Amino acid sequence: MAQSTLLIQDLINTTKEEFFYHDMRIAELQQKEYPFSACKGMLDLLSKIDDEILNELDKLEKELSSVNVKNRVDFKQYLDKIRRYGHLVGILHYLLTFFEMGSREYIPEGSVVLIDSIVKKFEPNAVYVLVPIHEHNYTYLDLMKPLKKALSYTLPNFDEIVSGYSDRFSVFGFPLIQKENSILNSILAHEVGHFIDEVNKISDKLMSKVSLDPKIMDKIAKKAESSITRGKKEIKLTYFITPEELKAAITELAASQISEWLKELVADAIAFHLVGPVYLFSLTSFLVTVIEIDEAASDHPPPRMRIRLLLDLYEDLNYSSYLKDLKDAKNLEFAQKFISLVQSIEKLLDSVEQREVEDFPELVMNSVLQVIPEVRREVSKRVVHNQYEPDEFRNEVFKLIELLDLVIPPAEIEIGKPASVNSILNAGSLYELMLVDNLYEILEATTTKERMEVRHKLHKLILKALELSSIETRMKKLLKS
Amino acid sequence: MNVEHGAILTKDEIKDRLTTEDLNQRLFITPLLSNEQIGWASVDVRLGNEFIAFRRTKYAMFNPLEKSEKLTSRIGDFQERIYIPLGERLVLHPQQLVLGCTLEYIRLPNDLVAEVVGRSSWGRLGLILSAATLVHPGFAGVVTLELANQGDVPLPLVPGVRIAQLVLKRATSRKQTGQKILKSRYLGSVGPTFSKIYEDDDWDALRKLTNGL
Repeated sequence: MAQSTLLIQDLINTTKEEFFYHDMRIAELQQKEYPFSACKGMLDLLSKIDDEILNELDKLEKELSSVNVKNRVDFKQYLDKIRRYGHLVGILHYLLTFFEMGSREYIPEGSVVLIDSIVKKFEPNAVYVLVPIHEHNYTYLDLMKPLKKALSYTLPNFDEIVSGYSDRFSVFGFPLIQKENSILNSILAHEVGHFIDEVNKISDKLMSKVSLDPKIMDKIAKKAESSITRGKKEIKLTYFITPEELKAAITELAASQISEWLKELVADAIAFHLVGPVYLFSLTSFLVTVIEIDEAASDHPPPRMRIRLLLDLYEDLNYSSYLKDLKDAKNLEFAQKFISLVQSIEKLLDSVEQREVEDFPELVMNSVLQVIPEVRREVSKRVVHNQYEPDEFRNEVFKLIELLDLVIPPAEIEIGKPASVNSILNAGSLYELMLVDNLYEILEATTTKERMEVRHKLHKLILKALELSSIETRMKKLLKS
Repeated sequence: MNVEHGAILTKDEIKDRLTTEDLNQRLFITPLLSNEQIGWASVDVRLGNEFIAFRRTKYAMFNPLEKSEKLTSRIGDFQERIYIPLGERLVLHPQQLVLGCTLEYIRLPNDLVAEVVGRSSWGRLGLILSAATLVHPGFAGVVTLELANQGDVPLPLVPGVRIAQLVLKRATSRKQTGQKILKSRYLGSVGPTFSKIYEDDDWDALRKLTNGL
């Protein structure tokens, strides 16, 4: 056998070894206890893919034994094939990272209840998992997309292999260190918002309503026509491209950024409708502790715009007027505190002078601002049947707050009536913002560390409430039947 | 209502305490999945989902004579937390002990004390609550249960099953019952709690006697 054939054979075996080890790791992961059955389903699929690839590599090896690699063209052809498998193993390896920490050890049952309650309202058959990530961030992605793309290059029958599986495999990620902070983790509703948007194409439709301000476009184009001096040379951008080409490039770039921003705003609006004011409070604290109010990124609008949208939705849903007619004095007191909390967020926005933007950022900003009323209308239309009602908030949240003041998980509105997931989250959030000092006193916390431990205990009480309300709902149905 | 101190609360008294408007007087058992859990002089409680099993470790023993900080840093090595979802079970083999907890989160008002008693139906199969648990007035949390299989056949521990009974008694004088919730950093446990025997003050004295054995 020629040296080059031997080398290729060795490369095939190295690649086989990669898939073999990948499959070994899958076998180890399959021993873990996952709170989402979808995890085991995906691991089975990945293992099946490993088997298929090993078969394909066997075929390639057989083919190699009957031919003689004589020239560079043949050699390159084989190398290309092997490299495609190598590329695939990289992707498969990456996919496993989502299952390394998707086990019960890292995901409290309360968090399972939280994500189930939000996703299943919209897509009862959705296939998804919740996983902690090593980032101070929340994420959403569909694993099927990169997987199918990678398989299409390597397995001719990939459609057949994935045919029994769902078209979408959604992964919702939350920061590992916040695994017990169910109040902050209400931000997951935003990630579910991305999922709902992707399925229903809400932001795509909104893009058709976006228009770019021609005046700003002209201003940018004119600036580009002015010359730049480099040493003794005078350079104009229009030497290289025509004004039309320049406008087309700006339009494309702006459209891409506007589309990203709209996706975020749609997900925010969905989240507020789904879980209520807890999202406003959690997102505000998550954003303003990390980035400046007017700091925008190409894929995220500035916090000011996002928080403004949520405050507008709070008004759209008439929260304040729902709370004005509360009869019980204690509840009315809680409600007033809650209203002033929302007002303090308004004040927070007003206290920082809005940063002036011009040219391209101005173009994007203005275009998005124009379409925000449409975002509110469109999202409201889509989620109205599944939204958290202000009426439910009024009738449940304040009763639950009273329980927290007695160090009791707010799982029931009254005996035999489990609280909803959203009311539990909102009660937890309001308690943390308004009354946590009471808990410091009851639990005798004076030092910073002790107080942080109390906040941790509060988060655990909320997780427990989520778990208990779900158990009560399920068990009561069974006990009745 | 005229109730003697130390007297066991009856069914009607328990129901009154569960529904009284006064939150400081109210007995909280959440969730109470069925009214049938309230017996003539006790409340049945169910098994929760979280357990602590004991691990084999490299250490010679669990020795409270060791300095408390040293031992607390090793506590995790002695225990393994296990979550059994609703609809699944944990098998307890003969001579095994696990810590479980009640499904119900309980808060006792300041004038009630509770005793946790194993159900005789389980006891006859060998499953016993290995220590009589006294729940103090003002307690708030799930109650840790020491579950031991003293029988000869493996037994399934199924979350949601009725596992024990709470017998409630009046504990203090009426004067103190108006007092607000008790203050303590130990309130609010949501899962079984591992032994804190090493926190007893007496160990310091005993350490001196035993010369740190």
